[in-house]
Amino acid sequence: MPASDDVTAPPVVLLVGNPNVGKTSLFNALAGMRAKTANYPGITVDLRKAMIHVAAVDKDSRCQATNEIELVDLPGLYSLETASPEEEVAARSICGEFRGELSRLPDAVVVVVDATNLARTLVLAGEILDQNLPTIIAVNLIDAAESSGTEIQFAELSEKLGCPVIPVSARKARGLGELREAIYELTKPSKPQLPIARQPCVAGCSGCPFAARFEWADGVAGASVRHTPGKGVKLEWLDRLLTSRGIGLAALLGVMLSVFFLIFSLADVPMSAIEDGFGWAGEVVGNLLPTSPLSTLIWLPIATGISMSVFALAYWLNETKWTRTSTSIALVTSLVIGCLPLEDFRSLAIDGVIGGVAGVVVFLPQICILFFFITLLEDSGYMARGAFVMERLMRRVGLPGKAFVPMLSAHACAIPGIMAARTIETWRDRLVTILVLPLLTCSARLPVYVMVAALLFGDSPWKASLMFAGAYLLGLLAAFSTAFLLKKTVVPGEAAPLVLELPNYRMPSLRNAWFTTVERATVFLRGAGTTILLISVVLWALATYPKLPDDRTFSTEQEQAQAALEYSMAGRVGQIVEPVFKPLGFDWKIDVGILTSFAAREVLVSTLSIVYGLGEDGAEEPAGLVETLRRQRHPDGTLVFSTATGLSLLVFFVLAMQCLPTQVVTKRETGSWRWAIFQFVYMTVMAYVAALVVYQSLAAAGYA
Amino acid sequence: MAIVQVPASSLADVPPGPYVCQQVHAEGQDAVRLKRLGVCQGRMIELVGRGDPMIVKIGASRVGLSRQLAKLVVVDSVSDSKSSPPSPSLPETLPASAF
Repeated sequence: MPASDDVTAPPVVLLVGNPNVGKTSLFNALAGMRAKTANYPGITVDLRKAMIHVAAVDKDSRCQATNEIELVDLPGLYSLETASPEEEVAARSICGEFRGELSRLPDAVVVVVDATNLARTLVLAGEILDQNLPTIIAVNLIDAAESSGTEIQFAELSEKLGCPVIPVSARKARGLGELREAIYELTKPSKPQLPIARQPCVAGCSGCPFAARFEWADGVAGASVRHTPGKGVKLEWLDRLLTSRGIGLAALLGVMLSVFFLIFSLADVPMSAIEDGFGWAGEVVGNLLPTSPLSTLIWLPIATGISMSVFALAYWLNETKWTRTSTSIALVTSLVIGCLPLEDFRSLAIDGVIGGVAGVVVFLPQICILFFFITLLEDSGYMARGAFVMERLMRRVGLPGKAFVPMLSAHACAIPGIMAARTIETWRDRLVTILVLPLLTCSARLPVYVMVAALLFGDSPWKASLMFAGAYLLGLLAAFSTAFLLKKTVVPGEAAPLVLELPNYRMPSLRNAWFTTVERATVFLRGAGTTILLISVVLWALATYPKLPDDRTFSTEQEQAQAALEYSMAGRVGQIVEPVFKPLGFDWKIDVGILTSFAAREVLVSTLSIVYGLGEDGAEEPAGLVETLRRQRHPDGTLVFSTATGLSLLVFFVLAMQCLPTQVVTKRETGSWRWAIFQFVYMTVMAYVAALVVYQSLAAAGYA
Repeated sequence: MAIVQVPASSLADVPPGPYVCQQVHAEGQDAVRLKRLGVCQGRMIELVGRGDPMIVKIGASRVGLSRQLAKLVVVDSVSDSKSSPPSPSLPETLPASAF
């Protein structure tokens, strides 16, 4: 019985359905921009929810009764017998077995079924009807069913199922009003709470319960569906091509390359807009902050207040509760920041916070464009074919075919890639995928590749492009061989054999892709934003303190910046670890760059610019930086950036885990720091060994 | 993976065409993953494309299926199953009047 003991809480309505029935499109159509991604306590699965108004449809009446409900979009599932953590969350929410907010039984369940595949998708509906919850069946994709000549007798279906049946089309926004009304009828406040006792859909079953459910669904669907054969477009020939060995793989390659072409060509304008925006924000903040020291009495509360508001923003983003611990951390840190000299505060605000966040947010356009096209491809039904084709290749190294979407995403950024690994059902396969994803060349590595290419092959574009291709291939090769090695050692076993629905081809909806993109971008910013802020501030502190003694004077600003960095913690650590990285051909200045690039790899370029005395602006003129780097010599007179060092640096950055935000996401998705640390250690060791081999063999061949 | 004796008429060894699923030897998660998509006793399965993975059609859905799992699915050709009585473990189709 639906029990809402808490009178003030709005009724909870769960949206349930098989994967590929357009459940999320329906959620987006109902919720629009009101959707929020919720992290329920104790679950790593993100659930989307929205408060929506449902009302009786009554055209004549002026005072419509409305009711506010909480609509929750559960992960797609085929059956209450589950095969993945996401499905487990969905199944347990339906049964009211969750701790926290989902602990009570839902007030109503909307089961979304596919009009073009009614029999199969009704199987889950049967299971849920047996739970005796107030249930509505929403038959989605009726537009597609009609155009393919399928006619459904909804009144008959409703009578057979013993619950309201609403025909809808999320894509064409049909039937949404009727669905809202049906939800209203089930959740309206005056509703008498009658216990529901339906006849079980499957009775007296001694054999396979699934078979019985399928028989039942076939019976129900068969009695209410009329099919006119010959109508509609047959796409089986397309399927045969796209799943074939040769053409299928070629098509997949073509699709992937087009997506990447679009990412890099479309993201250019918004990326420079973001860079300019943050630059402008830095200037504005610089102008707003006083330049000459104020009285401590006035300045301390202002600085503490600013810092507290940054904390408030970060906590809000990260959904951190204001507990005693988190409040005291914020207060103490803010007071320390309030006591900083004015000059340091300016530097912290402009370089640490704004600059640090800008360095990562600049990749958001690429990530958004990637999500947009991936959603379109998923909605069209193509992604399942892609996974099917890749299965043949990836199985051999112990990766499931489904890992190909996360691997595609990881070529823009490992973080959305790791989050996309949730579509992989079994834990072993998901873990292996997460562990190897950061080896793939993400966008943040590109500035480093560009710098090395300009340094070594500035005069030969085709050599430079070969180097780029080589770096991408090295990443892929490393990911596949690591997966193979993991299969033999740390994460033994084979990838779970493929059972994958190949959904019907459909016209994807731009509106739905837009909503999904906004949702995933929000999750990215929420998940990574706070970490990035924290890391930026810590790295800023490492590169700023201890400060140069006041008695030293410099002729230029660049020289002062260079000396300050050398004197700072980061500079000292760089010099301490120099012997460790010397066999790779790195001097201590490169080591400082490796240290500071832990927030985002591309920071290496700006750090090298400072540490070689060009100031921060030097990084914006690659030609100047490259010229300066080429002139650098070791104390013994040999070149620092020889071919050997350049390639060794390149190989190190292809393979090393130089990204703390990714580590935080790995921890979140795997549930423990153990795997994040393992990832860091194996990648760093691999990078070190590979760079060592490259440098030493090239040096032996005379390229040093 | 448990070693299961594989009979000759497994889904992995038959030419494309319609079949009736007789038994599924898979265990645990694999069994759930197969059965919830309709690869279970008494269901019609049409083999559309051979290979590894292969494509089968169950009702109106197409499903990609690895050979490793297909080996565990015992099938009978459609004509055979028509002459033999339906598997006794299957329940009677639920009459619509139950609602």
